[in-house]
Amino acid sequence: MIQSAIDALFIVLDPARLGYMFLGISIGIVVGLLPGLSGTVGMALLLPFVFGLDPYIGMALLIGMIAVIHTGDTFPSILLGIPGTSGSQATIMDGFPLAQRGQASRAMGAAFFCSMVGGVIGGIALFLTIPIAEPLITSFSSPELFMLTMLGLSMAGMLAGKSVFKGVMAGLLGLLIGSVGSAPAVPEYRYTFDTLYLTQGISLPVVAIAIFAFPIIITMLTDRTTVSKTGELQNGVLRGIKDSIKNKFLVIRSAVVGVLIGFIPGLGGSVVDWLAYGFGKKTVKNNHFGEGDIRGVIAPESANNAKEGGSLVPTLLFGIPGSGTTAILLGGLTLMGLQAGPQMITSDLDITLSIVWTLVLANVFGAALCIILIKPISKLSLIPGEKIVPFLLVLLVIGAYQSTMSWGDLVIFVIIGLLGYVMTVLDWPRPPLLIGFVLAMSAERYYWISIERYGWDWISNPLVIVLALLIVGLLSGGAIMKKFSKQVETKGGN
Amino acid sequence: MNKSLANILFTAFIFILFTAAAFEALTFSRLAQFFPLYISIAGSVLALIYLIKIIIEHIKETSPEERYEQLQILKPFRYIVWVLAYLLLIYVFGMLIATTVFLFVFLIWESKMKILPSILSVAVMLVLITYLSAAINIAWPTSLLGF
Repeated sequence: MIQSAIDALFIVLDPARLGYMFLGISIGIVVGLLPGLSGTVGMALLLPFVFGLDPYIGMALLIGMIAVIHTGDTFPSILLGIPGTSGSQATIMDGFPLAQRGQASRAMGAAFFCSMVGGVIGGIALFLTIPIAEPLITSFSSPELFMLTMLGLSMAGMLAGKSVFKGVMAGLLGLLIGSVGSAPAVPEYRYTFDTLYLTQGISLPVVAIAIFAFPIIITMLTDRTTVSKTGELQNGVLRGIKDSIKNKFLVIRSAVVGVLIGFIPGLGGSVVDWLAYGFGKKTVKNNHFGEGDIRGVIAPESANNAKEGGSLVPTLLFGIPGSGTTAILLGGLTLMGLQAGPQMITSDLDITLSIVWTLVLANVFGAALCIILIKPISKLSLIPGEKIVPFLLVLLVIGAYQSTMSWGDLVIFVIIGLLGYVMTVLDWPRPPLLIGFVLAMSAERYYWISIERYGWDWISNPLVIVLALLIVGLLSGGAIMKKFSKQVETKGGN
Repeated sequence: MNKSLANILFTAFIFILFTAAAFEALTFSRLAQFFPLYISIAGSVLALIYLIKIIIEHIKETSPEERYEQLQILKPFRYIVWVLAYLLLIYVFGMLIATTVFLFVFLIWESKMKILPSILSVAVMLVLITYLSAAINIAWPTSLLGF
């Protein structure tokens, strides 16, 4: 295995393949930078070009792009408070307040460094789990997946802020909005009001952009301010990297959460950053999460890149895509004459190992490129609101429209945006709404399958009990975990 | 409008929304209704409890600092109208014309930019979105006039 890994490294380091990997990295960063565009858009863009390509070159292009999307999406999340993709929603919670204090460079330095480390851990996890992947993945059936969605929903309670009432209601509202469209259990449409657009449900990118971006653009115009309220931009890239090193155990914990969530097909990567954020909030002592604590940036950014390595395990080894992006990747494999399945660890092992190396190298190069770009791009936070917002609005409208390419996307953008603005003004927390929305369909689907297949016996499954105890532990304050969290994480949050 | 009153009105709206969703869920078949019905009943009950709580607080003036915190209404409304006007322009005239008109008028009127920098900024944006559309196949919203 080690010899095969070394051989694969030399294959990946071929100049032509490196060139394609850099092309993929560049496209991935641009896709991440533009709010509303997702990995699916990037994959759909590259897919026609991989037809008939040498598989090593094709995978360098595709994996290079996938690896860095969650690195590039950090820019809008921190600088503008708008999620670049659905995987960087939680970064806003502390990244944007840091940018408002003139510490955008510090936040981005930490974010890119953690993205790199998380991505490398994801690559290593992919390498290490190849021999043991099957029992790991098959241990998660619908009851366990349902409990995982409950774990995600418990994060809504944790992010409720000062008023638990408001937080829980926002979470329930998200679940309700998520139930619009077709019911998973029967062929029936709900809350569609005879509208064709709503039969497919409301798309996540539109909700994520609207709930965060719309209030920001109205507030920036109303207050006539820059993002950086201090009006200055402090140099802090190195400080951010030092913060990450100081919180190394948080980085590793969050990356492990990312990998584990990535392993499990069907849960969806959109929740991984919230889970890591919630775990971070509960396990770090003396934290000020939500008020501009650097550890609130470190936790989700370590997890969202690590998730990609984890999600490739079921995709490559079993042909089970966990997201739209990996579903298109499966199509790409076919176009290159490959087939996902057990042969990826036997006859095509060298391809799988080249994917591991590409994932690791793309994360390192992608993070380095983003760190170089911090200085020019972070100047955006000094532009007055009334000068940057009109341009932002144009990009947001185009981004929102890409979800289903229907005018319904733009109508929903305005409706959810207005809801988000009122919630912001009245201090209702918005993240619980988004978490509820993201998990609504999974929660209903896995609950229904569990009941239909196992009755109520599934409650006694050992893994279900473990997950239930974990939820209770997290909701009851995570006091035990906090006790064991390292002393170094108790300081330097602000 | 003061913040406390606005919070009461918004919570009342949320209560009505959940209640209406619960009644609507009753029209679904059994397997389709259980999830939205329980969610909306839970939301409705919570919203009602919270609504009573904040009305009592409002009457008792237990949080006067919040009660008398005034909210801006006209200024945000003005910018919301700008957003809606831009979308309306796109719907009628298409992305290119709407973006040109919206950006130019906004930059001159709201941002107080001079004409030449405004023209240059609009031109750069138009080149960018046209390039994005061509290079990575990004679709623009359709319009009545087909532009």
